[in-house]
Amino acid sequence: MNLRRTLLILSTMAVLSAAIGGYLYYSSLINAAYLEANRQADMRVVMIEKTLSSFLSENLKPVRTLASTPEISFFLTTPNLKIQEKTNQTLDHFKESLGVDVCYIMDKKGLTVASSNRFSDDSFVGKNFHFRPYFQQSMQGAAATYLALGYTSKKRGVYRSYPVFDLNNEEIIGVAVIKDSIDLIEQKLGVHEDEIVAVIDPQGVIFISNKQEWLLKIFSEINLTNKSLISESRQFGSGPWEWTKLREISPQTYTATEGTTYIGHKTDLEAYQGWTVLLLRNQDLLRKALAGPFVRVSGLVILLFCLIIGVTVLFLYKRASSEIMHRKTAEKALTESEERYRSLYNKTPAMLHSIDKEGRLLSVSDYWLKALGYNLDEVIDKKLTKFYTENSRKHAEEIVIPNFFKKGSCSNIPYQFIKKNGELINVLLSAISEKNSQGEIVRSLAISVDVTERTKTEEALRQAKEELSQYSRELEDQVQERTKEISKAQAQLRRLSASIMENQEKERAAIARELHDELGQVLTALRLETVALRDQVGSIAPPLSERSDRMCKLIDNTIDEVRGMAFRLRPGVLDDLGLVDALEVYTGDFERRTGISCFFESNTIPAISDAIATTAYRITQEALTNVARHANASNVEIAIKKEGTKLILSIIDEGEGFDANLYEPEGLGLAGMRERASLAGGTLKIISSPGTGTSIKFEVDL
Amino acid sequence: MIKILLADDHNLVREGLRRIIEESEGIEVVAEAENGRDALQLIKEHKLDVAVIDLSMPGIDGLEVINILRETNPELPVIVLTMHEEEQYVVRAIEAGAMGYLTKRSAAEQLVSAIKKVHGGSRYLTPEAAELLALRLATGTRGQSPLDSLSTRELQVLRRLAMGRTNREIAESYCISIKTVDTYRLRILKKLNLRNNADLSRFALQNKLIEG
Repeated sequence: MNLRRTLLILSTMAVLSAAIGGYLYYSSLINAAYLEANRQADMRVVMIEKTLSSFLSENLKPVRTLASTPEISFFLTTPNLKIQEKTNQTLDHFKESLGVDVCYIMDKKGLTVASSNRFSDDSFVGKNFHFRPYFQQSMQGAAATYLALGYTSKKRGVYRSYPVFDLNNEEIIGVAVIKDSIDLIEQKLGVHEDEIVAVIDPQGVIFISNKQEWLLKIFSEINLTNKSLISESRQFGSGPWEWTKLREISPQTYTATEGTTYIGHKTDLEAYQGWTVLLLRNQDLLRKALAGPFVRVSGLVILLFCLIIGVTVLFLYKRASSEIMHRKTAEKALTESEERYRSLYNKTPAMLHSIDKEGRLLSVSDYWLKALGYNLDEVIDKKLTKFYTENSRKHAEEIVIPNFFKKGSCSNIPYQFIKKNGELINVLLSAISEKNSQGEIVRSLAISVDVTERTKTEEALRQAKEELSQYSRELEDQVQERTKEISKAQAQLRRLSASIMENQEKERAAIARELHDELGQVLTALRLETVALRDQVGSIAPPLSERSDRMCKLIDNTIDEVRGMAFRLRPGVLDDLGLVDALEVYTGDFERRTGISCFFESNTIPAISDAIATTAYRITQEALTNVARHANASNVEIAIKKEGTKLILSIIDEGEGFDANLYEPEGLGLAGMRERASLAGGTLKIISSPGTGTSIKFEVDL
Repeated sequence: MIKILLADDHNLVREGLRRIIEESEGIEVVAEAENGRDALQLIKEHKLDVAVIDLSMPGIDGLEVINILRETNPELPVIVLTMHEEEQYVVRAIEAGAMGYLTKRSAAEQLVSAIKKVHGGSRYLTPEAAELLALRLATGTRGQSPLDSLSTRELQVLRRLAMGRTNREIAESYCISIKTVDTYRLRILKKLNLRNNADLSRFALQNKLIEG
């Protein structure tokens, strides 16, 4: 059932029960008050009866006195005017002193012979009331009281009679009567406005009542049948003795035709056989009168109480309602989340399962089933290990599962599942645990990753790698072999290159020496002869002398040519005097030839090998040739120095330079220079960039 | 008669030289050698006044002969006669102990006077060689002179500037451009921490590059 509705009903019931409680409390109070009122009414009706009784028996003694008055006996035995006068006076006297309605004397036949109302229109004198029960009783010698409507006067009254004896007190000769008005009593009853008091005779006729319209009416419907009896008794005049229209709906409860309900309280009227005194109270007015103070005092409190309860309940209901809404939202979110989780669990393309402590499957994902080919009812509650291969089962049952329920997790455990169709799949299983509120592990949540393909792929990959590495090894071997060959070839080449260069240098040196020494010597000899010839013929034949002179100059030129050639091939000074002198000569010559200022500097250089000297010389030569051809420089600095164990040769110009990072211009012989440097066991650094000139540095260990 | 030894490995040249000497008066070729060893042997055997020795000879070359003679015959003046015209050779020869230096090219004109001059106790050098020699002597004790920081060419330029030569004159002497001379001048000033040519002159005097 909807919690909110329940709450609403509960709230309503709370309010209702509070209201009912209030009402019950209220009504019980009212009821108690009502009962108290009834009790009081019962007492009141007794009081009223007492009052009535005392009133009705009030004048019994006076009537006895009156009856025993001697003149009355006289008057009845021997009437004369004098005694009549005396009797009348006595009657008047009694009437006056008692304050009653009328006093009168009846003879033994029932005829009224004297009366205090003898002068009034309704005088009793001469009237016979022998039918009256009180007369009959008194004639029997007893005192009597009687309630009736006056036969002559038509006034209700209470009759009190006493027999009158003769003077000898032997015979009853008449009856003395004192009639008192009922009206007085009715005034003295002291009833409330909303109360009705009725004195009802045995025939059901209301004789005394504060409700005037009810007087001489028959109280109860059932007594309407008594009308003839009533008429016969002549007690209550001639009728018509109508019904009061009061119905007794329940004992002591009556309703009038206009709808008023009355509560009745009854008691017998003492000394009047069959007479009853009835006190009727208007129920509505009574209730109102009773409820009034409660409504004013408790009612407000109760109302306030109810209101507070109502407001509190409303407030609590609102609170609860919003709380419920809140919870509902949370619950909905939870449900959705759970749904998502469930959906995720089932739809995730991964093998998910849960087992309990006994290793039985509690749940599996759809993918799990699909991967293994089972239906859900074939696996739930079955042991997980049932789906493993023998080895996996052993491993799981002996090691992994016990450990898992101790530690709470495991990861990447390799297992083999047997599919329904008998195939095997390799998985890696990882699991986490779910704990109950006591912190005990109750179930697992595991994921198995199918690595069959992966394993296959890995195996294939491993094989491929193996093959590749084998191939690679072979290749490497081949490469090594080739490299060896190449290195060998390179070394051979280098040796060849070195040897070529060495030979070249040797040859150049030989040629240069040949030119310089042999040809130069011959030319020198020729010159000596020519000069001798010139000197000998000079004085004899001047033209011959001139020609000799020309020859001499020609020889000089030729010597210069030869020397130049020899120098360019390989300067003798390099071999004779060493590198520093050779560079000094060369740079000086270069300066003269090109006009580019050469600033040559050196410190003391120890003896160095021919190879290094030649290399340094040739590098300088090549570098300066480049300067002259490409650099467009005006200065070039050449320095050869020994620094530590190194010989450092540098050629630095301030010319145009080139971008050494991008390319090495062909034709500069840079490769050749490097080759030479490398063959000499040294290094060559070329630093150049456009606009800042070129720096060439040759370094070699001495 | 001045008795000389002619040592040259080249017969033609030696013959030519001998004829020049024979044609002159007062000089006699008493021995001829075609290598260093022979020359040393002959010098031992003969009483000689001057030895004329070619630098380039097979076996013991001219410079070695001079070196040996400086020990054995320090009184014997040696004239070096060579095909090499580079000044570096001259310096080496003089340093080794030669009194004169002649290129074979100029032998026809200068050999006789050279022999006479050397015999007379003087050096016989070309002006350029003399200058170089002077420079080398000035820087003689290496490692102690501020001149050590200067290159040969810088020393040359410094000396000439100190002697009051103009840039043009210097340029012409060494077949280099005037601008190069000026650059040398600036380099020298910088290296020696000097300010002007007057400073240069003072410096040259102090260091005996020139004579006062």
